[in-house]
Amino acid sequence: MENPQKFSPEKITSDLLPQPFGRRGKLWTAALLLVALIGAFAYIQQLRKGLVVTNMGDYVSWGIYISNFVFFVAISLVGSLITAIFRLADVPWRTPLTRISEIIAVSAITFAALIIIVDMGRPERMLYLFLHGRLQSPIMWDVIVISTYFCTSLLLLYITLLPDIKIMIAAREKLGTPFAKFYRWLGSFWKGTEAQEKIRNRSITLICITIIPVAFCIHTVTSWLFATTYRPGWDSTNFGAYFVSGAFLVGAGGVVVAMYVFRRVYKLEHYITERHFDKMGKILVMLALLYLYFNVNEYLVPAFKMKKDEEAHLRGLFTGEFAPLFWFAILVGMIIPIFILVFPKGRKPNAMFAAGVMVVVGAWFKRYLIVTPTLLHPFLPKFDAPARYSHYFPSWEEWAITAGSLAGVLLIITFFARVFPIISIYKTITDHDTELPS
Amino acid sequence: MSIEKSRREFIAAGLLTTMAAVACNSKKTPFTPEEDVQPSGEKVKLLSVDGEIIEVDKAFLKPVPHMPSVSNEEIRKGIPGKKFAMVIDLSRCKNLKKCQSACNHMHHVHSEQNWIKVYQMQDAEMTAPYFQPTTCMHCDEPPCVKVCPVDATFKRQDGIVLIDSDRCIGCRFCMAACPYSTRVFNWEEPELTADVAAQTYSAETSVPQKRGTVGKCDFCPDMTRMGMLPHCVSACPNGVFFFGDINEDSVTNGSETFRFSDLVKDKSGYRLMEDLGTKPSVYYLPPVNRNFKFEEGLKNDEPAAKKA
Amino acid sequence: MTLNYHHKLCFLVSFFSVIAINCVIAQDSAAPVTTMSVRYFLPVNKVPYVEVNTKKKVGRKFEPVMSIPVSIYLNEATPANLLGKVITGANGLAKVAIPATFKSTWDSLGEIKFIAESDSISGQPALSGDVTIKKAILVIDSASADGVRAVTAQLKEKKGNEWVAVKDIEMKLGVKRMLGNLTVGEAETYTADSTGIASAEFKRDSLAGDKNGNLVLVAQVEDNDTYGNLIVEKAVPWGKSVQPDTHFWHRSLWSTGNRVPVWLLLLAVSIIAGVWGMIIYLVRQVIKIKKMGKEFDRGLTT
Repeated sequence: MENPQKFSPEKITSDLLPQPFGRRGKLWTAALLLVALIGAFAYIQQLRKGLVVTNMGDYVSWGIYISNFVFFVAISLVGSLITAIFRLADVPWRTPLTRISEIIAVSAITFAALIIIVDMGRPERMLYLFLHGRLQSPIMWDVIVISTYFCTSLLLLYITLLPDIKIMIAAREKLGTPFAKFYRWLGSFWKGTEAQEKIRNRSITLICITIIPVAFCIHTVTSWLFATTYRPGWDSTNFGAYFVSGAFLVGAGGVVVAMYVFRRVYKLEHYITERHFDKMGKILVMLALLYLYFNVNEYLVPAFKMKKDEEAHLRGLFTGEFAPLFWFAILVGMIIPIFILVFPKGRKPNAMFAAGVMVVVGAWFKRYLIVTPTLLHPFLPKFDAPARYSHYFPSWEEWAITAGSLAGVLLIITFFARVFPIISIYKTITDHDTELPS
Repeated sequence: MSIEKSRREFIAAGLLTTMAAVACNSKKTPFTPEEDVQPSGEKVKLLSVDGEIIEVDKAFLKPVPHMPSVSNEEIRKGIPGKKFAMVIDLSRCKNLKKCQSACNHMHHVHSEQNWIKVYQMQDAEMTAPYFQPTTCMHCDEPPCVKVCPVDATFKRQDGIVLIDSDRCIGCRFCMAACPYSTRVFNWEEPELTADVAAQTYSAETSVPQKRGTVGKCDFCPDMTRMGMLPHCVSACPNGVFFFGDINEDSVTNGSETFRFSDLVKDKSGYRLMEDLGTKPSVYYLPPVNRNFKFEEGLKNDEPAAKKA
Repeated sequence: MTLNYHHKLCFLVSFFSVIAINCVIAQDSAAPVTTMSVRYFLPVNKVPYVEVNTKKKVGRKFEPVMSIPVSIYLNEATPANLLGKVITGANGLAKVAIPATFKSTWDSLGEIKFIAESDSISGQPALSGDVTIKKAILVIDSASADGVRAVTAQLKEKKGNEWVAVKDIEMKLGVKRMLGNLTVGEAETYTADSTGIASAEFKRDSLAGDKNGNLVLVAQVEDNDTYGNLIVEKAVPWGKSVQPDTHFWHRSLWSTGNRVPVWLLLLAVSIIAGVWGMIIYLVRQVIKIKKMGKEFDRGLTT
C-alpha cells in the first residue's frame, strides 16, 4: 500500500483496538440518543392516536416513512458491494473499508425493517404476515428478502469478525473488562487453527457469492413495490436496475462519509489513506454516472412521449411544485459530485467527504421524490376528498421518527465501533505480512 | 323552465314511491317464503285466500326475514352462482350526490372521506364535461388484491372485492395499487356512536370501521343477501345506478330492470381504464342524450345546495 | 341485527319482527307529519297478509317511522275483530296475516276492509289507515307454439263459489331476477283484455336461467285499488342453462394465499430453499468451527 512504513502487528493492534468514547464521542452519542428518544416519543404518539398524526392522506398514502425505508434499503446494499464484490474481484485495497460497509449494511437494514413497522396502520398485526402471508404480494417478497439479507449480512459480519475477537480477548489488559465476557461469549472458540481458518475462508467466499444476488433482490423487490402498480412515475420496467444503481451510489457515498469520519476521529490516517479515497472517488464517479444514466432513461423517455397521465407528474418534477427538490437531488446527488470527483484534487479526503455528504443527502431527497409526487398524481382527478390530501408535507412526528431512525442507524454504527475494531486488525496484519516479501 | 322543473319533481316523486313499493314488495323473500326463510320451528294457523287453514312457519311473516349472521369463511367465498355488476348511466347523473351521502351514512364513513366520489370530468378541452360517480370497480383482475400481503382484501366468487378490517395490517399497498383512487384509510379512530361501535364487525357491512385499516365501497353484499339493492342504487332519485347479476343478465335501479347485455350493447357501455387490464365490474353508459344540463349539476356543488 | 317482538293476543298469535339494517333512524322531529298506509298482499295465492307502513316526508323523500304500535282490524275497529297488534320496524313496516279463527268471517265476505289504528304516543298523534279489497287470485300460464312463446295471466275474483276472470286489469309480466324482475317483452305492464286475459310474447330468448335452463315467470298486480297486491310464479324451461363458472377457484395472482400460482410457488420455494440452505450450511460451519475450538481447548488437536 501507499503508506511507506510497515507496522508491527503490535502497533496495528494497538492502533485499531476499539477505544472508549472521548468527550466528543460521548456528546455525539448523547445527541443521537436524544434524537432517537424524540423519535420514540413521536412514535408513541402515533401509536396512541393512529397514523392521523402524520400528514399522509388518501392520495399520499405513503410518505417519508416509505421514502426513508427505500433510503435505508438502498444504503444497506453497500455491504455486498464493498465486501462481496471487492472480495470476489480480489480488490487489494478493500481491507479498511469492508467492516465499515458491513456495519452500515446491518444497521440500515435493521432500521429499514423497523420503519416499515412504523408505517403500518396496525403494527400489532405484524405476525399476520407469517400466519396469513400471500406469496403473490411483493410486500411478502420484500419481507422474505429483507430478513434473508439481514441474516446473511449479520453472518458475514460475524464470521469476518472472529479473528479480531481472538485478538481482543488477548488484549484484555489493554481493553479493560467492560466487554470481555461478551467477546468470550462471541468467539472464545476461535483459535485460528489451520482447519478453522480453512472453513472460515471458504465460508466467507460462499457468503460473498450468496449475498450479491440477495442484495440485488432486496432493492429490486423494493423497487417492485412501486413498479408493480400502474402509477405514473412508477410504472417502469427500468425500476429494478434504476434502484440498484442508485443504491450502490448512496452506499458508496455513505462509506466515503464513514471512512472520513472514522479516519478523523480514530486517527486512522495510516490505515485509511488518501489512496483509498482516490480509489473510492473513482468508484463513486462511476456509480454516479451509472445512476445518472438510469435517471436519464427514467425521465427522458416518458417526457419525450408525455402521456397524459405522466404529464402532470413530470411537469411537477421539472418545472412545478417539486422542481427545486428535483433539481437539487439531480445536481447535488449526482452532477456536482461527478464534477468534484473527476479531478484528482477532488478525490482528496476533504473534497471527498463533501461529495459523499452530497451524494447521501441528494439520495435521501431522491427517494422522497420517487414516492411522493407520483401519489399526488392519481389517474382520476383529486376530488371529493379533503383539500389537505392534495398536498403533502411531513408532520413533526414524521420528521421526528425519521430523524430518530437515522439517529438509530448512526447509534448502531457508533456502538459497534465502540465494541469492535472498525477496521479488521487481523486482516490488516496479514495484509502487511503478505506485502513484506514483495 | 318552471314547468320542466315541476315535471321533473313529479317524476322524481313518482320514482320514489315506485321505488318504495319495489323495496317493499318485489323482493323475492316475502313472496316465496318456502325458499329462503330460515324456519323458526314455530307453526301458526293462518287463513289462505280460499279460506283454508294452513300451518305456516312463523318466520316467513317477518317484514324482512331474519338473516343468519354469515361467517367470515362464508363472507370470503361470496354468494355462489352470482356475479355482481353495476351499470352507471352518466346521461342521468345530475351531481346530486345522494348516492354518496347514503353510502357515507350507512357505512359510517369518516365525515371528510367518501367511498363514492362524483367526479366532474372533461376528457379533452373541446369535449363536453360530465359527472362521473365512481364506486369501487370490483375488478376481475384486482390490482389491490394482487398486492395484499395478508389476504385482508380479497375477491369473492360473486365478483365482489371486500376488505376484512380484522385482518388488514394497514400497509396501504392496495391504495397505491388501485388506479381508481377508490380506497380510503382510517387514519384516526372512526367517530362512531356507541351503538354502531358495538355492532359485530362484518366484512359485508364494513361496519364498524377500524382505525389503521383500509376502507372502500363494498357493493353492499349484506343488502344483496336480503334481496335488496345497494344503498347508492336505492338512494339515487335519477336512477343512475343499475345493479344486478351478470349470470342472470339483468340489472335494475329499483324501478327499471334491463337485460344487462342489451343495455350495455344498445347504449355503448364501457369500463374505466380498460387498457390497464383490471376488468372492472362497473360499466358506464356514455353521457349522451342527457336528462340534465351539466350546468344544472354544477349548482349542486354550490355551498347553498350542500346544506344538508 | 334482528329483534323479534312477540305479542300476546287475545285470540291467537301474531308476530312480526324488525330489521334495523337498511333504514334511516327516524328522528322525533315535530315538523314532518307521519302518515300511515295499509296494503294488502297475496303471494302465490296462498296466505294473504296486511302490511302497514308508517312514514313521514322529509324534504322530497319519505323516511320510515319506526316503533309505532299499530292494531289491525278486520272490517271494524272493535276488539273482536282485532287481527293483531304489531309495532313498526326500523323500515316503518309491520305486517299481520289472518288468523285461522277468522275463517267464518273471511268465508262470508267478498269484500274486506282492513283498518289500522295507532294511539297517540309521546307527541305522536293517533294515526289510522284502511284499505278495502276484494278477494281475488292471480293465475299464470305459459304457452309455446311455432317458436313463439307466450305468457298469460288472469286475475280472478270470487263470485259466489267461482273464481271469475276480471277484465282491464293492469299487471306486470316478468321473469324473476334476484333484485328486480325483467319484463318478458318490451312493455312495462300488460292489461287484461275483454276475456280477462293479459298476455305477452316472451322476448327474452336465451336469457340465463338456472343450471337446467329454467326461468321463473312472474305475474304481478301492484297496488290495485280493488284487489291489492298479488303475485304468482311459474317455472318454464325457456332459459339458457348456466353452468357455474369455476374460473374463480383457479390459482392466480389475485386469489388467496393458498391458491398461489404454481410457477410463483416453485420459483419462490426454490430461491428461498437455495439461499436459506446456504445460510443454514454456513451456520453449521460456524458450529463446526466452535467445536474445533472446544476440542482445541481440551488439547485434542493442535
